Amino acid sequence: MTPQLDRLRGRELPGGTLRIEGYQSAILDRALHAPAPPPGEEHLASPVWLVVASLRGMGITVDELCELAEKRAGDTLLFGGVDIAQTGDLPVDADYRTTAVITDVGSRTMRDGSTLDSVVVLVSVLGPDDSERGSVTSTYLFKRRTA
Amino acid sequence: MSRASTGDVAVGTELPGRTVHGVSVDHIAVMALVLQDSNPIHWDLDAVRSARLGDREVNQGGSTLAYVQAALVDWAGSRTAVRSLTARFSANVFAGDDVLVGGTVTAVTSVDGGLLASCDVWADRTDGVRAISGTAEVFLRG
Repeated sequence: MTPQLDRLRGRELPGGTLRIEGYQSAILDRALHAPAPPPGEEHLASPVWLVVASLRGMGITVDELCELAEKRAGDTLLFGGVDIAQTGDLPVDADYRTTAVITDVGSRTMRDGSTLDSVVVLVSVLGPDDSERGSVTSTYLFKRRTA
Repeated sequence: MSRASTGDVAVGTELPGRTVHGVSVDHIAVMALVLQDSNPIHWDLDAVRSARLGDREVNQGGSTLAYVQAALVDWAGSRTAVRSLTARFSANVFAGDDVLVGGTVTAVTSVDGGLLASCDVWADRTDGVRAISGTAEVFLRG
């Protein structure tokens, strides 16, 4: 039976906090083949930290998101798409606050007859001065196991 | 990668290409830790096979997207230049894959202090499969 996800639309998630440590920023840059920070921006983290915040800043784990979406054994979680807006700097060695809400859900039948459900989560990232530094809208896809 | 000069940017300008050679299993694991992403398709080959995704670890979509972000940041010369980025994930990138990132300027708008370049962007596996397609708005300081 296909889960009914409409109940999730508009649900606020706990959000949370995130600290970007300088050493973590450096390690992540290396893992992602990012170029060195441009001159004068050595104190700034890469915008990929908005993506990091979109996952860690929901205030629930990916496993808990899967539970909300009634993911079952044999279902596969996929990352469908993302909309990122950067509106401010992301200095390292600084603390950030995030808010999160499920803005939409959906379901469609694929050509092979399987069901692909979607859960859309908006995470907003606020800087140390509480000004918005960016937002990320992520679409999580749940490919349901076929019988 | 060469930095953009606002005088040289116009509709049709190709962004400098960027290639990530051999996506590393260890880097996928690092990203799983940073993202606190427990999805086993990134580190458990049994889970990868069970999901019918092949026999190599799956790179995080966010990591492949980061290759695009890095190319745009490098082109613009600033970590705050990518004002927006919209991306759709159409195929997986796996451990060991090479990934080619590129883009094209589709519109240029004069704004205070420089230009806002609208771009089509993409990330392809070097076997020709498109992993990411999207659009970006990038501020280029004048």
